Amino acid sequence: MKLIEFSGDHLDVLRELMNIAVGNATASIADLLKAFGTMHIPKITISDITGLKQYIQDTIPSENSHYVTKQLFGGPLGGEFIFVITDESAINFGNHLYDIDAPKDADIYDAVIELTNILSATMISRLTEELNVKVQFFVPSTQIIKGNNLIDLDEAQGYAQIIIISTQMEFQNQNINGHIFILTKDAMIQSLKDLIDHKLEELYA
Amino acid sequence: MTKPVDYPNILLDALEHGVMIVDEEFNVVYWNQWLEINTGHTYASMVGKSLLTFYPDIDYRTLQRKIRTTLRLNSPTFYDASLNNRFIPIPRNKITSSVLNTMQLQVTISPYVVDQRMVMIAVYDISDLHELKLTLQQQMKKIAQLNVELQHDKQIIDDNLLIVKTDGEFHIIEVSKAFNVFFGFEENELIGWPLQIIYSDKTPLSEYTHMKKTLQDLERWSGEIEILSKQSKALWMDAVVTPWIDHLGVLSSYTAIYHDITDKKRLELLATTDPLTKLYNRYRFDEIFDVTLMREHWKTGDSFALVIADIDHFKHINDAYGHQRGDEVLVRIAEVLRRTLREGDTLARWGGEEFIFLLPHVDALRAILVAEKLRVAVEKLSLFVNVQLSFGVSLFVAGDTQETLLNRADTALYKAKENGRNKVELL
Amino acid sequence: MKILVADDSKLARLSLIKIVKELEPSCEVIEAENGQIAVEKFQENSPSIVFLDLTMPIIDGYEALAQIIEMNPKAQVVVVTADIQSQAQAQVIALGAKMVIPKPISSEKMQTVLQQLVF
Repeated sequence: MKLIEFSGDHLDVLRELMNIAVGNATASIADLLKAFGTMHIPKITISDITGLKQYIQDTIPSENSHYVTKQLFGGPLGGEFIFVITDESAINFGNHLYDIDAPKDADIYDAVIELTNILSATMISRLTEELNVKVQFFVPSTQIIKGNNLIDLDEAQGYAQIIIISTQMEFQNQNINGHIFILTKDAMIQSLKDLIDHKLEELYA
Repeated sequence: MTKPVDYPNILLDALEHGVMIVDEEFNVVYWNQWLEINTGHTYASMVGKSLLTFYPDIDYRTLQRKIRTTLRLNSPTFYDASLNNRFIPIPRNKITSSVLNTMQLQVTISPYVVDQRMVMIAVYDISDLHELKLTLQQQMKKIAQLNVELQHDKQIIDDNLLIVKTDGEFHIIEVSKAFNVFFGFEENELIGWPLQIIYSDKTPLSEYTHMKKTLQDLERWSGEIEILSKQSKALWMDAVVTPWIDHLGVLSSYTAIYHDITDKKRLELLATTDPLTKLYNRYRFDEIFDVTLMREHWKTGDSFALVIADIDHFKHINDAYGHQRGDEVLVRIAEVLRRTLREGDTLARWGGEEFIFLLPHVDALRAILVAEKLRVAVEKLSLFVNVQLSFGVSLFVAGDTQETLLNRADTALYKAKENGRNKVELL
Repeated sequence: MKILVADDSKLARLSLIKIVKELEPSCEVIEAENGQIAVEKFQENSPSIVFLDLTMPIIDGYEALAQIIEMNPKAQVVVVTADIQSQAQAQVIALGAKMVIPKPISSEKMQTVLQQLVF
């Protein structure tokens, strides 16, 4: 499998665009919660499946139970958007959103899906807007996972090339914290690279 | 108000899922045919009215928030499909399964005309999928339960049975906890070693050969072997070794289960009879030999002889006909020997295929004659196979001990074998 | 007219510079890719406007802003940031920035900046 070369310039562009996307997303949630969020600079890593597993284990603590929502997006650019939030944070978010003291399980699932929707829509749309493409969003799915084994891929698939964009959503005062991973692999990395090249061309034109 | 019949509407009515268009206040602007059929509400009755009129019980706060988010972000929002229905209840007609009475819906809310605050809500029936998911979850629970029980049983076996597992080359790959504890080994001490290292050298080579051959024929082998503990203490074990064949029919491993028979062996030893032939055993014979040597007054012309007889080619008989037949031969030989001996003679089973005699009140010639008589009696036996014995004779002379007599008889036996078998030799 | 553009992202610098050049072709542009260089270049060149990103290595935007204001309390610093929360903007104005602009900067916004700060 030929590795796609992602140059320093490409990474710079992606980082900057993701910066803007994260800023937008944070502001969006801040609006919803009527609170102030800490913006986290997104990190970009290029790795494989084993690397991804390791990265997730290093980022997500293993002690808690997490709501993990995964949503696919597709089109000229496609990938997977993953949002991870501890059950404690999810309850806090649900509380804030619903103003009920004891939100039911279904309420929390709803809140988490809503949060994921907002985050993915804001971030991916912003990113794709800057790259002049449109993508489609698919139905997200949520599950509760104990610990940090978020993906179950076996080693046999270990040779995909994956771009991992990761950032955090933090609302300290409300005790709401979540991790965001945006993943693209293989052919989509090439698409991304082509779109970035386009963008750079515009700039130098 | 009737539904317009134009291409967009024909298309929307042809869809296999529900499509409605509503505004922020839940007023219905459009209601497609799928919805008409499955909810029982017609286009005419729905359009212009609020959803609240027909579905007062759904969570409108959530719905409104989702609609607003869709409009604000200009991007679709979704209901979580894994939970019980949070949107409108649509009855499900399936009779043959009882899990879901209303459809499990996948609901997508997409922006339609944003400045008029209108959204399109699409519903898909994913009941079958959901049922499968629930069944799967149930099965997984059952499997988890079974696993717990299995683990429990495994633990009991590991704690209580002496088990050693080897690969196809008899290298140890697994040892049960009980085995390690019983024999004094550390947890992984024996892994990788050939199975042979735990066996003492008292186990005859023929036993191994037989074991290997039986196993290579992919049959279970059982027998008695002596195992050395970590402290080099020798313990007799009843062993059952089973070859395991994988799903492709290829030999994958051997499992040996041992049972401590130290006590049984001890009892056997103390008992005086050989269980198979019912002759005296070695232990008893030694006693008699001792007495014979010590108590009596022997002189030339009135001495006693020690005779050792060995079955010729007994291994071949065992290999050709199997152990059970081999045992039969031993029993029949024992019988004929016993019948042929004189009053006062002592006969015992000395080893696997050896017999030993004490002939009192004989001289050399007499001893040879008796031995010869025995030889012929065995030769004349009509069995499924011809059997013959070779005899080694030693006559007591002053100064002889048990050892010297045994040695001479052994050497004589050897000579008889060398000289063609089915013979009597005296030294 | 001299301007200083400080941002660790090459894309951000180039996009901004492109827009400025479209509006003021004769403008002289000085670039800095981290906070430390930004402060140094400010001292060397005394630009009329400083476009400052907040998240930079070595010294971040906040620190650079403080140092620049200390050097020259009349410095015209425009913070260009991805964090568009109003609370974040207020914080930066309080530290001495003249304006806060969201990224990516648009032509219209740039016109407003130039009008307010230069003309």
